[in-house]
Amino acid sequence: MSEKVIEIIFSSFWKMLLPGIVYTIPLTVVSFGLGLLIAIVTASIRIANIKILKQFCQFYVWVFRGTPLLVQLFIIFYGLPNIGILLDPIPSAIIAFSLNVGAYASETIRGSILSVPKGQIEAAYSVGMTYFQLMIHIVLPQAIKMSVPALFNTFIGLVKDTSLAANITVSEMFMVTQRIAAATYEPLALYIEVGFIYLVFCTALTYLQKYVEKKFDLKGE
Amino acid sequence: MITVKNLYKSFGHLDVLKNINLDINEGETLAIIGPSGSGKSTFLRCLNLLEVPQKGEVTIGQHHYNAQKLDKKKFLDIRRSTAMVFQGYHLFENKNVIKNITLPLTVVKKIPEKEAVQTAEKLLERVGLLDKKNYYPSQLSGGQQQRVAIARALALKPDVILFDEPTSALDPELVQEVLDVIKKVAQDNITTVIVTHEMSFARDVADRVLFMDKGEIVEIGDARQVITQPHQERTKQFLQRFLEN
Repeated sequence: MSEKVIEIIFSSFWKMLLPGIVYTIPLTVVSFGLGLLIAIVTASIRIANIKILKQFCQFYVWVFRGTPLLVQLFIIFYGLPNIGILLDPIPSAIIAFSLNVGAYASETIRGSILSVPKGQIEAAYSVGMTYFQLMIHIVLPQAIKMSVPALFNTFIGLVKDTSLAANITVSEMFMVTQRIAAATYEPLALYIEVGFIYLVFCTALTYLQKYVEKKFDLKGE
Repeated sequence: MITVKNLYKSFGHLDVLKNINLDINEGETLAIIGPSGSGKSTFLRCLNLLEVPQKGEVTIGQHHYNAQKLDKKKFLDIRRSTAMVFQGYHLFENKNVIKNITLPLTVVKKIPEKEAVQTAEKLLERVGLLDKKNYYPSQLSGGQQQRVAIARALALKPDVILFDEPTSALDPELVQEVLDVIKKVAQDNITTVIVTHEMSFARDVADRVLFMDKGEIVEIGDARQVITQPHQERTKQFLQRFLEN
């Protein structure tokens, strides 16, 4: 590797990391938080079997799991202005990401809730608990524990998916890399470098996952 | 204490309980025996409304329900005047032993935490598991889990405790420790209904035995009499193998 390439790698590192810290991480965290909220509501509606709302939720999950995230981003950012809805790039990205995460995570959470053994639910009823008490004290604590690995899958997936926001003019890490690559004619080194930064972010999440799982185990919940 | 009138329950086209009428006295221990599929467990589960019968009336202590006029409050009232011990123990896996007993007390009965813990510890001592109070269910043997489940039921001070085949899922060598605990409960004048396949236990511990077949009460009477000298042909048939041993 020539000295020039090494110099480009070093000089561009902070230029990449900065949008990573300013865009990639907040985009991921905010979208995942909102997505989780959507997921809990969606899963609850489907399990509680609330008529029309349940069908709406099924439709939502079907659509957002069945279409590419890139298409969803394009519809929200480039498509909606046609019917008078103009959104800035960042809100567009957050909406698309959280709806997408919500659809996937709602299935994870729904599955975990359903996998809490029926016997414990009967036991809770037999001691006189209400549906709400049963959910709060027995079902949700166990469902959340069970869904941790799958939810971290979604979380880690989202870190990388935020690079798609480059397509709707968000100057996140990947877009900045593209610009530097175009200016320096060193795509190989630079794309490997940006991949490495994503890898570091995801590795941090892997450790967070281990920590969270351990914490749940200690409490036995 | 418990009155059951014309209780009827079907699953689809299958009549599981056909007009059951029964009185259970306060402090009595009633054992229900019968072949699988005879409706024993369903009957028990209708008493605390884990199954909802189509017709009939049940009175338990202060509370009364008519199957055709049920509402949410009735479900809670009836369930709060009963407690159940299940075949599969069904302890709350996310709570340790002591929490399994105190949670229903603090959440359902609104008893202060401190008082609940005292009650729980007393009962754990009685079932011989005080030293395991901080264990989680998965760290206990089946027999130990079932003894915790019995303590959980006792803590609620219900009008009646319903045992649904409490020893059927246990290894043979663990059955006795659970039966010993149930025996103590039965002797304490707590109204007890127990569905069981342990014939000698029913004979020795119960006051009365009820033999059920195909959703009907075939025979009911003094425990020793029904088990050792049944009147009905069907009961004799069912008990034949036990009597021969």
